[in-house]
Amino acid sequence: MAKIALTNLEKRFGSFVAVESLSLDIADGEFLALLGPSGCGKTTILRMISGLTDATGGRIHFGARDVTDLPPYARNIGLVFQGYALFPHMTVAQNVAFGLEMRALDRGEIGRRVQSALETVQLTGLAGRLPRQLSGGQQQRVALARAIVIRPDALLLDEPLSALDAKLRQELRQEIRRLQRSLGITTICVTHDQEEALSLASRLVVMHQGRIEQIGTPSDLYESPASRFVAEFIGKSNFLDGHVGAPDEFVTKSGFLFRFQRRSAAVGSRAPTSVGFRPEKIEMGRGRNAALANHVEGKVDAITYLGATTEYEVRLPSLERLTVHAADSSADPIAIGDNVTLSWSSEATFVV
Amino acid sequence: MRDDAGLRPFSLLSPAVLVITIGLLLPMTMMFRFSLNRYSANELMTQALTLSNYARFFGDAFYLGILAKTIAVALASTVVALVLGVPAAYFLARLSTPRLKSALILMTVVPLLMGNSVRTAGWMVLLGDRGLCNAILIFLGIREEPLRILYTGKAVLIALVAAILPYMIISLQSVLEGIERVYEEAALTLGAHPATMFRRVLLPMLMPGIFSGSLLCFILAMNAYATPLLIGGPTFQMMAPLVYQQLTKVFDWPFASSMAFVLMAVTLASVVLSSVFIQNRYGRL
Repeated sequence: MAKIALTNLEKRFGSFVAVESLSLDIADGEFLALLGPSGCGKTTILRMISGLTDATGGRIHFGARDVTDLPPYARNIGLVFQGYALFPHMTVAQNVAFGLEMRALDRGEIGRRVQSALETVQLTGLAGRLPRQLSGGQQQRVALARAIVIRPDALLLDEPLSALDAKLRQELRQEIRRLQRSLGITTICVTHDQEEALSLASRLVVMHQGRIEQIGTPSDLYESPASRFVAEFIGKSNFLDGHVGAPDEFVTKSGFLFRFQRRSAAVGSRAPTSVGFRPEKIEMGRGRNAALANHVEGKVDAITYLGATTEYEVRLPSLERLTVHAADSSADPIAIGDNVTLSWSSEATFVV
Repeated sequence: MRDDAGLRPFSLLSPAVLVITIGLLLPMTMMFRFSLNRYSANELMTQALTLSNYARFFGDAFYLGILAKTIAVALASTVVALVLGVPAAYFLARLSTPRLKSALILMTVVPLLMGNSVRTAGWMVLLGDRGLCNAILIFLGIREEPLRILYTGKAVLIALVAAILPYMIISLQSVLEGIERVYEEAALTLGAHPATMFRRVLLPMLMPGIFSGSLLCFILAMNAYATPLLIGGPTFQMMAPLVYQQLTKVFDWPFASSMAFVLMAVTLASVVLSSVFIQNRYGRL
């Protein structure tokens, strides 16, 4: 268990830059998620931390230890692979014991630690089974046990839940979170699934084309996205193009005036070109809600029932379209073709 | 309605079954019958039902010696081919450039495209008393007299390994292709040194390839004809040339037939025994 520091880390494949001068500190015991679309460099970062891929520049430190030039077997890491990579010819217990045997611990110690690791992931009864005799969720637990039993400096998860169905995914997500908290292992999870990242990690790094787009807590990223890319990657957003007029007022090309309060630090010197707001922050009704700062009128174009909420497509007089998520009100149901007023607060409005 | 779905696979097989019956089973039955006949210098053989040919083989230290030598050479060449084949197959399987990979695989099998005797003649040119190897040794002053390589067991071993190596490499490579690299990476991240990773993870997973490759090579080496005949010469004898010699030079068909069956039975027995052993040791393949 240690603090992990990446300093100007870089990976080039020929002229292609997979990871561009990346610096990042992960605190001892922190759960960090690297989030981004495929090809954004997040897996390359994980492989460089584990030593499976050589960095072409920069340093990696585990605590005070510089591990940049160490081979993977000398780094003391626990890596959970996307497909688990359990050794098919070994039983569950043998798989979990493997890393301990490599550390030349005595038999009794290995037995005790394997036993307790299997208890932690609730697989005690399956110690003698082969991986192919296990379900996907059980295999995932074995992979987790195999990675934590060696008490690694860093636990690295590569798309840990992508091979499982939705219900199991949710269950294991909570289990991973619980496990990580109780063991206090510094953990880095690579995923393209925003829901997974938001629910698992205490801090998120959104990657785009080999660079960090934004770092922050889940709510930072959701409420004040630093760029249109982040806003679109995490959750759904409505965007209207235009420019900032007064310090807290955005003028859209179609002539609307919207008050905003959120302006991400990352936007910096560049002038914002879009105003954004989340579909579920919009209140929709026959009349305007005077308590909220921003209003716009439109006509309902399409309705999609989503279960907990209903999604409405609203066409503005300017022909721009907005998406609204609202609970279906059975007293006065809104139908296609109805004229509605949309209202939302300035706190829910950000410019990027 | 008639259910003839079960019949179709059989009807598809029948041409092959026919060929095997006529081309293999029939002659083998005849040969087995011959092996029970009695040799006659005048009439080639006389009808009989005797085990005397088998008794003669197992009663004569000369013939038993040749059988033992055949088994030893086949085993040794298989082991050498395995040791040489694993790194080559691993290199091939892990190559990421498809074009280079196809080129190298083609190069591996090219020796199979030319006849066995042509290849063996090449080894004779190389290993003979006045061959290339000795010419170089003498030219460099390392030896005054030519080194005797041809017509020794060593020469047979070298040439046999060269003959069976492609089969070993291809068998191993096809299994290695199916072993994803992620297993190696998992072992490395868990603290396994590459050599330990190879022994504990790769080797057990490669077992089916090792088994099928070794089996193929052992059978080929046991029954090798041209290589021991040309490279071993009259001094280093193995079973297959011996059978041929009895058949065409001595015209003792019953004895030749019985030796052919001994060779076949010994090969079959070792194959069955080793597969039982391997399955007990490493589980079902």
